[in-house]
Amino acid sequence: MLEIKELTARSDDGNDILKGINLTVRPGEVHAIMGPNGSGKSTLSSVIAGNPKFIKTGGTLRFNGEEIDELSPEERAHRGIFLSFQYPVEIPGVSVNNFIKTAINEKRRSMGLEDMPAGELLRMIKEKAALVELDPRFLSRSLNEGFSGGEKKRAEIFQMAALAPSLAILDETDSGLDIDALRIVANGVNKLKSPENATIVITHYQRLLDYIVPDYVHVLYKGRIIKTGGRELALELEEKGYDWLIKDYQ
Amino acid sequence: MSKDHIQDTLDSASDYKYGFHSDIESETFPVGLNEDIVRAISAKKEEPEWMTEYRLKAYRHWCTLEEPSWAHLKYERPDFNGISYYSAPVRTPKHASLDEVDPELLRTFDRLGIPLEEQKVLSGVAMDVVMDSVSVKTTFEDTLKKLGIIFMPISRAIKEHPDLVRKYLGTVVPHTDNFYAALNSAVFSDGSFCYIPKGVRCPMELSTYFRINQGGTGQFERTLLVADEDSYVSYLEGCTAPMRDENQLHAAVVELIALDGAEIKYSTVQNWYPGDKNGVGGIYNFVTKRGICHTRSKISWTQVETGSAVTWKYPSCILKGDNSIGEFYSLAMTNNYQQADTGTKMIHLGRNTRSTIVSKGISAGYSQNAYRGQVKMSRGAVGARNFTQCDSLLMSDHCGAHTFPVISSDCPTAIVEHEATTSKISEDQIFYCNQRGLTTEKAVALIVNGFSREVLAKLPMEFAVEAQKLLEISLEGSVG
Amino acid sequence: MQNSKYIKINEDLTTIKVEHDSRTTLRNTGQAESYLLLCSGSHSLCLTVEKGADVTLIEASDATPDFCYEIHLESGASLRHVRIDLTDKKTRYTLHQEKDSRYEMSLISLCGNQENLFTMHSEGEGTDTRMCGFTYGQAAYKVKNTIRLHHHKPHATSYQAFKYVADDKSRLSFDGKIIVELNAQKIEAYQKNNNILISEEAHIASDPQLEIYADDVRCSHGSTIGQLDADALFYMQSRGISYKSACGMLIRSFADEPLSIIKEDWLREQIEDIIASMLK
Repeated sequence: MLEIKELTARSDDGNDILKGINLTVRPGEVHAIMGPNGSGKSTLSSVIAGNPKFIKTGGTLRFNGEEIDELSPEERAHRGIFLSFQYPVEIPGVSVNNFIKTAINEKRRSMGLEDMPAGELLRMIKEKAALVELDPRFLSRSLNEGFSGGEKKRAEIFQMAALAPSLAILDETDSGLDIDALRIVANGVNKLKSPENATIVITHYQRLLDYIVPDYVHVLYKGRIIKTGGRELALELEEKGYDWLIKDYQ
Repeated sequence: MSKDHIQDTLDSASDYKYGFHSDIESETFPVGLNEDIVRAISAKKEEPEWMTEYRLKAYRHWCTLEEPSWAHLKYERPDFNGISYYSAPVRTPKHASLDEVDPELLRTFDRLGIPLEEQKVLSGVAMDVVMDSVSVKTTFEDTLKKLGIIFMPISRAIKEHPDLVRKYLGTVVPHTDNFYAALNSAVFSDGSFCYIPKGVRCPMELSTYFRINQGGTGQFERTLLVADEDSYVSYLEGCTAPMRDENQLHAAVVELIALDGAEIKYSTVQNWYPGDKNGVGGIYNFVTKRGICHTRSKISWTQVETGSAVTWKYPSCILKGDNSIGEFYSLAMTNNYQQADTGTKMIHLGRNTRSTIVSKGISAGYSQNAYRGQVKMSRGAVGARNFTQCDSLLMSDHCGAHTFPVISSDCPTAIVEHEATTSKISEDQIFYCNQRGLTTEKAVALIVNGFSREVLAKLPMEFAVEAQKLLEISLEGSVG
Repeated sequence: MQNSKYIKINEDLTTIKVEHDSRTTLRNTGQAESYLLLCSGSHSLCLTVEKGADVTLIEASDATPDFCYEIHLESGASLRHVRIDLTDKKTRYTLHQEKDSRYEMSLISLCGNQENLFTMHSEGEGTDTRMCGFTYGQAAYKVKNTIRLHHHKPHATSYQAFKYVADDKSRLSFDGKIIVELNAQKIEAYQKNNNILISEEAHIASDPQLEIYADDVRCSHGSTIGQLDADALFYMQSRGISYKSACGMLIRSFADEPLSIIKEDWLREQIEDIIASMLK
């Protein structure tokens, strides 16, 4: 599904951040990307999603066989890429309901479909909110305004449920969450997993991976993936930290 | 990169869809203003002596005044001797029958989307249609009459209800108030007069639709709305004008009187021609609007302003009676070279009076958008409260957003809270929406809508829909 | 006008005696230094703080009633300016800041009629401008502070917090405008003016203003007028604090921000004593 070869990218203030990433994600897989802060994890998710603040300087980025470089972020979203942000922005005056309805219909229009009828839309939203344990009262509140860290992340997973992407990238979804919030968020993600979609979990700590079990674990350091392993690699990192691994790459 | 995106979205041509001109036979006075013209206007309207005297007094006072220049506005001074102060369509119907109306006129209103037939009127809104200073049609008059409600052109009210008009005209905005009020008091030709009797709740929304059609004229309408004790009325004002190269002047005066326990809701969706992309032409909108609240009464001003080249207006409330309430909800959008200096004044005189001000300004293009407000707590305003929130959204790097509130208090138990913020749509917000599948245009529309929601929510339903559409149209051409 | 208030000066400070219109440059080598400004019989001063210097300027003695001064902060310079007003004053004060300079002002007015015009120009990137004021009006004093803060260059920050307490027949007014010029992007400017009216014959006027021509900025201002917080007063009383003491504590808390800028104990303590003596 996602094929990344020798990807290099820099930020818009000129710093080279990604220095040659190779990654292949197939349907049904869960990949975890770990690494110390500043290694380029968020940059990778931003480049895949098409954030204009980051510029791809080399390599190839293919989604379902198609090179997506020239596609705008919304076009990538329509093709099935979803990014759960580390710091979801607030949009005052726009309710969660209103926002998700607009997103759903925009996607349908891009596929030549008509807007979803209001009744069906309402039912679907309620269903998805229940699935990810999002209190329906949040639906009428302004998007992310005044939400706690945990509430913001849950709202992100709710959006993921409603948009049903084929590739979901979870950027530090566990940061700022306590154990209970973590469990609820992970539960939601797990319920949405299927053999047709794939998930990339970006995290600094191991604990999320207790709940969202990865098939592959990659360690990103200074813009490169320095090691790939199975689930045990995450446990090893938890026990020993990153030093033993990165000392050879200083 | 997204900033350019926003710029482009706003830049795609937006047609002012009301810019057409109707070929209607009109009678227009020669340009210029002097006592003879004033008398001629009064004579044309067959006014009683006291009305002519009022006009002359105002005109003489106007001659002694100088045009104000303190607003944050730059514009070419109107040539007061170069405009005509009276223009009226020749075939003016006098009564409810549509057969007598110039068919061209009917077509005009059709194009504006204003249905005149009684049945099709927006879910029963009684409407007074004013074309070029003259009231052309008032609907639902008989229905209202049965309740004792008077809703008619002010020119008729002066003749049919002189006592009422005389009692209240100029009591809220005296002719000495300011330059434009004096001018208006001298040359106003028509507008709406409305009187709601004691205890009556007006069953439908009352509306006046203003349209300036004739070139080279100024429109000076005068509205007087009196809500007697414990009554209620909701009033809608809408305005459009054709596209012309010259700047046309619109200097109106609106006076609202809410007697004990009464409530007046006054909503405006203003879409006067704003001038073209280069700032040529457009209406000069200089309006004095004021309401006086007696004991336990309430006046709410709600406005959505997207038009006119230069706007200068401050709908205000004088909270004279104890426990009275004043509200001001405003959304002002400026684009290209438009300029707005608008806001409100809440003067607290009585005890336990309350005022709420929510002002949202959106600036784009090369426009300048200023909020100017005054909140005054006088010594007697014991226990009074004001809450003000002014937010400005900047959508280009060439426009300006300004806030000039003036707050004063002479009363220790009065509370004033004022907050203002200025910001722009952040790139992060745009990217977030993009990632959720929304194009940048859609994202901007959504965010602006969210920004404006608090004000749009205050508009009566029919107006809210129109206002929403207006915002979208204004946005289409505004990024740039 | 009674001037029963005065500040005893710490003799160890370096003094800048201004006896006629003059220009002075302040510099330092190593640690921060404090200077005391003593003006008598003169009308203007032009002061430059040298590149990279870190100095403190204290004005706490009788000054000539009509004074005009200009301060230039060269790049990287830092000035902490403490001004205590105890007499009638009419001043015009202009500040020019070059890049990366920092300015912090504590303005405490406790006595006398004041009419001050502060014009601040941020003329370089990376400047930071902070002004914290506390005015306690009593008798029939009139205080009018006019501030015009101009942001000419991008990436700068400013913060203004003016707190007024008006008692007796005093008339206090605040007129503060923040102007962000075109191209002065990425500015963060905040302004707040909080006012308490104590007596019925006192008067407060507040005109906070924003004139913004650049779009990538974050600017806000807030203004409040009211009484001492009744809930806070009751809370303190319920803990055994007398009403009078509680009022005093709340008024005194209004002066927190400007007082916290004063590091000199000998000065700060005297000011706190004066405020305490003003509470009735």
